[in-house]
Amino acid sequence: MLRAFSTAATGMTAQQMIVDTIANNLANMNTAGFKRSMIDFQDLVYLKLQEPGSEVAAGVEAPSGFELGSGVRPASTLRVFTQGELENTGRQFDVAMQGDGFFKIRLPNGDERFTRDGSFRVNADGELVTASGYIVEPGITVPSDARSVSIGTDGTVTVFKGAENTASTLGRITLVRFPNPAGLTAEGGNLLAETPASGKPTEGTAGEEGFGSIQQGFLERSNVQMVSELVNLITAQRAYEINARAIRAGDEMLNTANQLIR
Amino acid sequence: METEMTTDMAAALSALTRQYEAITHNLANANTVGYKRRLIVFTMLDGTTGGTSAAGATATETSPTIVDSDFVDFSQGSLVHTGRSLDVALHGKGFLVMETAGGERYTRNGVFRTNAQGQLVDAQGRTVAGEGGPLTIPPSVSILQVQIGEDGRVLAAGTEIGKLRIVEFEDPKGLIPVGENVYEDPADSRPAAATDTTVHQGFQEGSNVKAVQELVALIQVARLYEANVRIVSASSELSKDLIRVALG
Repeated sequence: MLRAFSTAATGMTAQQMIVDTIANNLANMNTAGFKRSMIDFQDLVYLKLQEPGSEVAAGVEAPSGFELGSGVRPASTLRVFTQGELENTGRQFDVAMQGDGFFKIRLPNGDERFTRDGSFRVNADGELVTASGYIVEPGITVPSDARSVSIGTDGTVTVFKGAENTASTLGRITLVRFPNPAGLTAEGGNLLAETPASGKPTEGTAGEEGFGSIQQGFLERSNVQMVSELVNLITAQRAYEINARAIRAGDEMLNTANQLIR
Repeated sequence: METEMTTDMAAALSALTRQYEAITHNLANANTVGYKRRLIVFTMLDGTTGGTSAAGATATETSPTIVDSDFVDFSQGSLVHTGRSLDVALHGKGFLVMETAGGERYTRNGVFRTNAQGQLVDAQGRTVAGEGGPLTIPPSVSILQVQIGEDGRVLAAGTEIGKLRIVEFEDPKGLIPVGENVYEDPADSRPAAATDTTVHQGFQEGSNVKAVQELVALIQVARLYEANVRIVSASSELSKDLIRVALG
């Protein structure tokens, strides 16, 4: 009986985690480049009370065994890397990626991070940086006399500067891809970090070999779908309620049993 | 007489407790992808009707024994759309095969990902079995370009890299759940390739636990438990009265 209480408690914890994840997804519904997460659950190990084929009464063999489950546990959170909608912002340093890949970002301490958020800008030195001010690799410096900057679908950054009538190339924004993007860890600030599970990044040119293409003047919206999140929220809430209900029923049963000794 | 009754009731109470435990386990897994609900079946082995064995042991006039065995209800769960390219849901009686160090495991949970080598794996890192070995997505192909057909063929950017191994059991009741969403086949029956099972990419098969069904069972168990406890206490009152009469 007491085991069943902890079983139901694992159920409540699991539903609680779903609600937490949904809350985070919904909170980031308007975060550029945000990818929604979901939790993958697994049933817990079974307690073998009786092996199949064991003798249960004189000469009677159990047709099947008896295993008692002990609940559920979260196996992992999964980031779902489906494409978000592209929204036209008209800003010349906003870039959105259509397809697979990440922008590579360099932190001040030299570490590399990865993002889908392409709301870039230039800092005081003319360097292309993220909204948090981190350098976008491989490092592009926009001259101070630039008239207009254009970013091609392959990531090539060209500029018209001063009184020149021909465009000059500043460099190319390269993209990286991982064998297992779901293995990247989220660090907040729209940044993801490499892990042993994600595998080593492959660098490449936008639009080639499975890499997404780059759209200037657009931002990739989050891929959170409000309706489906809300539906999941209701499901989780109800499941939580029912698990709590199961504990209450067990409590009543124990209470009845306790009345035996009076 | 009352002791016999009390033991019967005690057996009933422990059986009901187990049923209660099974219900809580089902409810805890109401949102576990590919989970199949478990149900407990009680059989009353009466001393006179059942209980004869091949060994020829004669039936005795003992109190009936409650035999409980548990079954997995392998009915289809509903398919929920997720849009993830590496989510596959099965429709039909088949199972996906996972390769582990301890042999093959079978599952209905098709929430896959890739490992650092690009192989298709599950949450525990077990490799998904293809008909010709593990399915490896080449590094030049993004996982968004993976297509899985209804027949289980896996295409990476249009090139076939293999086919999911989907098997079917004549009697899936022999499968033993070992946790972590997989089943083990103790008989090692080398299951045949599934015939009527279709694969749906971008979907997950929801748990087949139905809240209402479980709640009804829960109420039943709670009430039966209460009734049994009542009988036990009534019978103990009865024996007290008997003793009082006997002793004057």
